[in-house]
Amino acid sequence: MKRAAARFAKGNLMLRPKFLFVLLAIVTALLAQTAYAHGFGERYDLPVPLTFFVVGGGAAVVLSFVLIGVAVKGEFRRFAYPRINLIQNTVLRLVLAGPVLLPIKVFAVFGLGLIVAVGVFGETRPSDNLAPTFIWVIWWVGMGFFIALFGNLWALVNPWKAIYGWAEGIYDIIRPDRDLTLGWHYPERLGIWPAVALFFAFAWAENSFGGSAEPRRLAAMALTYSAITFVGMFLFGKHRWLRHGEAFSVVFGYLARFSITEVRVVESQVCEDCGSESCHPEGQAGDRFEGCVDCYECAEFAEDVQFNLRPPAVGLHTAGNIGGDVMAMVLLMLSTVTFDGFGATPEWVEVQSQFFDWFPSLTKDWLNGVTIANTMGLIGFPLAFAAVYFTFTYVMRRVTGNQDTASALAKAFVFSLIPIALAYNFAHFLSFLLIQGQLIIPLVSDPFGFGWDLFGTRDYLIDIGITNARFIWFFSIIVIVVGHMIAVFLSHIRAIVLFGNRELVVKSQLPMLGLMVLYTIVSLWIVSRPIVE
Amino acid sequence: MKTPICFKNPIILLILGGILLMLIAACGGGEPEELDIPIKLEGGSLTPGTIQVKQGDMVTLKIETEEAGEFHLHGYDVEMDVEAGVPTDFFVLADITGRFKITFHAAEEEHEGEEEHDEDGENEEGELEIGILEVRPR
Repeated sequence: MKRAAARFAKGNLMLRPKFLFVLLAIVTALLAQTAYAHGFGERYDLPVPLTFFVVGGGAAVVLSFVLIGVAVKGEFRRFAYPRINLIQNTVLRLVLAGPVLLPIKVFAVFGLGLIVAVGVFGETRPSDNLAPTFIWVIWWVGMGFFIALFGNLWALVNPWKAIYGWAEGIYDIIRPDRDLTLGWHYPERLGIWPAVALFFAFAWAENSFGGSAEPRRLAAMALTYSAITFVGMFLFGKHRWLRHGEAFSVVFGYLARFSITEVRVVESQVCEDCGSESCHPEGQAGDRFEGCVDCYECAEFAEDVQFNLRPPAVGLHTAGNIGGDVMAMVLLMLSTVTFDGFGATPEWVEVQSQFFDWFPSLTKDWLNGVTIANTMGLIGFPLAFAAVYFTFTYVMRRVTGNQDTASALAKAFVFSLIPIALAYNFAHFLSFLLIQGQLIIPLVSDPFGFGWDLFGTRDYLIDIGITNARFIWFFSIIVIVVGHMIAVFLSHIRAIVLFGNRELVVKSQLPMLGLMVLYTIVSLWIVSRPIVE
Repeated sequence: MKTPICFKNPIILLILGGILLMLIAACGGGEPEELDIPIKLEGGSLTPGTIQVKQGDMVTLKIETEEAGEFHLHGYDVEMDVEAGVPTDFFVLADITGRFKITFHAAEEEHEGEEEHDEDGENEEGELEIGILEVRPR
């Protein structure tokens, strides 16, 4: 109510009728009862108007052809890009050095402990408790944005990695001759499937589970996941588990490929010996050695580590072999991002209410009509995605006469789809982050909801006018079209490396272009639908 | 890279120009208005279900209801008590764009227990979503 009054007072006093109206509005506010707290995760977005949808779709198609026609004409076997080593700068070197990193890690571990504590002991109303806002808004959406744009912060602040690293340090004093792990052999066949499964569980909690905003449930999830992660690291070794089983290291790692920074080890011996089969040095046999990128286990042993600034999205161009597990993970990421928005369209809510009518007796927060509908959506979407993607790569194989199977082509191009999903994610979540993210300001002062006021910000009321619909509309359309362009570009580069021959490149990129336009139109359609919850 | 091609090609230039024009056309304009909008709460939903106004409009919702309780406009976070059969004016200065839920909270009829009921309430304190206020950019 305070905020409402304050906003009315901001009105332009020169405008007579408006001034009178402001008085009336203040009277209304005074007559009103105490304000409810904001519901957690409530959204106020206006859907993108039809004109924007049509213009965005048209622009995506036209600009794709412009890009494909004029931008890339070279023929090359290996893709290179400019880099600036930031670590050569002494100031930055100091900032990135241990004494500065340690407090960041301590803070991250403290954060995990705090989230679990407020989840277990704090108020149960989601909007009064730090855990839901921190986990869903700040960490999952906010940090995801940051990582995709600027670099893999998660590799630095992963609290499980930090805790285990400290434990290793202590164990090293007691038993310097042994590592803190049972050293079980990690079955190669498993690949990153454990991470895929855990990420699916997380996506299920996010999109299907009715209790996902409840602090107690979140604490239980955080503790369970911590246990799984520690056991995994203990059985197979820290880095092996982080690379294959820790879902967020994998997912954030893929997002970070889009970002403008990279960690590069330029010692060939270290890159070969540091123990990860997925850390193959970049480039093919016979090429000049260029180092291994974003292999944090190698970076731990290396003397010569670069922290580079690079053009955005170039990290998504991968020359190495991509397995079925990696492709599954990328497709799962893409489809859950899309389902997150699709699940809130009026069309899907129609489906949900249908399921609700079919299962009236199921009322548990983890089992009811809505969770059944969303679980099916969450399984169906990745399958449908894969089916559509394989259809297009099958067409690609036919038109190019390539000997590779459709699934081999699908693997080769899968990372180039990520910019479309990222762009959609930005469009879908920007206003949510800007508005609901403000909840963190009062919550840091009163994380448990006990009435504390640690930093004097407890009474901060969120400003829903921080952004406006027109800005969000323009932002959404522009970012989706730009994401689409980047995807077309990446896929084109990939095709040049893969096929080498100009004619085949163009032929192969027509089905790919069709797929990407389809995907972009779906994204645009979702942002043009009202968000219903 | 030979980018200038897209500037030499008149068709592309024309399309880009067209896109720009369409976007400009999509922006409306005009002065804020004072609006009286009659709304009626019947059988758990509002008529009209979606109220559309433009940013800056000075809106008076003229509420008619058959049940006593409280109207709550989300986002703006303002409430208004209403009595059954008594027309009530609810003023809203629609200065922020968005799509805002209007919920209704029926007046309590002397509950036995204390206020501890909301522990398991899925809907926040028994609120019922009855309609939407859409504030579009001007």
